[in-house]
Amino acid sequence: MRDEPSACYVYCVVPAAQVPPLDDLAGVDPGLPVGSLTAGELCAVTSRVRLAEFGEDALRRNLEDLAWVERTARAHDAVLARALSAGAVVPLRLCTIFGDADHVRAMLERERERLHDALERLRGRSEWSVKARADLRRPAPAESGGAAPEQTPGRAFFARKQGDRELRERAAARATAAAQEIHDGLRAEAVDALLLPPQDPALSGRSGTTLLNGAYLVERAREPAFTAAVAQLAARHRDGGVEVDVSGPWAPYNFVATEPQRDERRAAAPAQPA
Amino acid sequence: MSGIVPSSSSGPAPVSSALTGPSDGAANLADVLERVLDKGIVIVGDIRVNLLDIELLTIKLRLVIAGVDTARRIGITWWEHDPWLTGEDDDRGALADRVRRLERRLEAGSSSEGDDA
Repeated sequence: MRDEPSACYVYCVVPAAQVPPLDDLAGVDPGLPVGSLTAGELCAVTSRVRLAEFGEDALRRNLEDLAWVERTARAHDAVLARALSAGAVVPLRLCTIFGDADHVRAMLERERERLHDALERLRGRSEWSVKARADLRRPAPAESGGAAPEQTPGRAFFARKQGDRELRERAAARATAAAQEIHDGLRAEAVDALLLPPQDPALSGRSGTTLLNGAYLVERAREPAFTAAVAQLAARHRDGGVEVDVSGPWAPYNFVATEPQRDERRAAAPAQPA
Repeated sequence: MSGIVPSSSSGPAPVSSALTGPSDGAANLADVLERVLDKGIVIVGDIRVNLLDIELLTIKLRLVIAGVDTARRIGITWWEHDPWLTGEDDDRGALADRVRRLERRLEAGSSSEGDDA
C-alpha cells in the first residue's frame, strides 16, 4: 500500500470464534487486502482504504459517482457473503470508516452489547429476497380497436381509455392478491419478513410492475424448505401472469434493525402496484 | 454490467433459473444497492461523510428504485446519463413514440370535441 495516508474500513462484525478466511478477498479499495481486528469475543472485518479515495472530501465526491458506488457496494457485499458463510454476521452500513485499528477496537467495546445481541439474533440465519412481478399493461387485447363507429375519434379514444383503465384495475387487484398470498406463504417459512419498496424495471432489468419485494430471514437449515415454498408459490401463480424471482442467501442486511424501527419500516413500505 | 457469477464470494446468485428466468447484473445490482446503501447497522465512524450527501445519493437511487416515470414527471432525468442505468434505449424510444402517439390522439380528440360544441 505505498505510503499514502489511509484509514480503516469496517465491513461487518462476526464472532471472534468464527472468523472466515479473508485473505483471498478484494477490499473496497482495490488491491488492499481484507483482514480482521478482534476485541474480546467480537471481531471486525476490515481493510485499509486510502484517504485519497475514502477521506471525507473524496467520499463526498465518490458517493455521487454511481459507477464508484456500484463497485464499492459489490466489494462490500462480497465480504459480507463470505462472513455469512462462516456463521453469524452483523452487516455495517457502506462506508463506515475509522482512523486506525485502535479506534475500531474501541468501537467494538463501546458497541459490544448491541453487536452481541444482533449476532445472537442473526446466528445461523440468512436473508432471502423474493420479488413478484406482473405485466399489468397487457391484459386488453380483445378490447383495443373496439370503439363504436359512430363515436368521434376523441370520444372513442376516451371510451377506450376508460375501458383499459377498468381492465388494468381488475388485473392489478388480482395481482395484488397473488402477491399477498406469496408473501403470507413465505412468511410462514421464515423467522421474520419485511416488505421493501418496489424496484423499478430500469434498475432490476425486468419488465412489468413489481407486486412484491419481500425480504425474509430464514434459518439456514430451513433454506431448502424456503426455496421449495417459493417454487411452489411461483408455479401456482405463473398462469395468472405473475413472475417470481428469488435470490439468496444474503447477509441479513434488513434484519439488524431493532423491532420498533422495523415496525416503522413495515408501516412505511406496503407493497403496492407502482 | 457484468453477469452474475454464481460463487459465494460475489453475492448471492439466483437459486434456480427456472424460478428467476434470465438474470443479468442489473437485477443483482438493484438488490445489492437496496441492501448495502441504507440497511445494515449504523455505527458512526471517524470519517464522517456529510450526511446530506449520502441522503442525496440515496434519494436519487430511491427515485430510480421507486419509479423512473415518476422521476421523469417531475423533471428529474439525471439517471438517463448514468452509464449503469443506460441500456434502456429501446424503452426510452418506445416511451417517446407512445408520447407522440398520445399527443396526436389528444390533438385529434380535442379538435373533434371542439367541433361538437
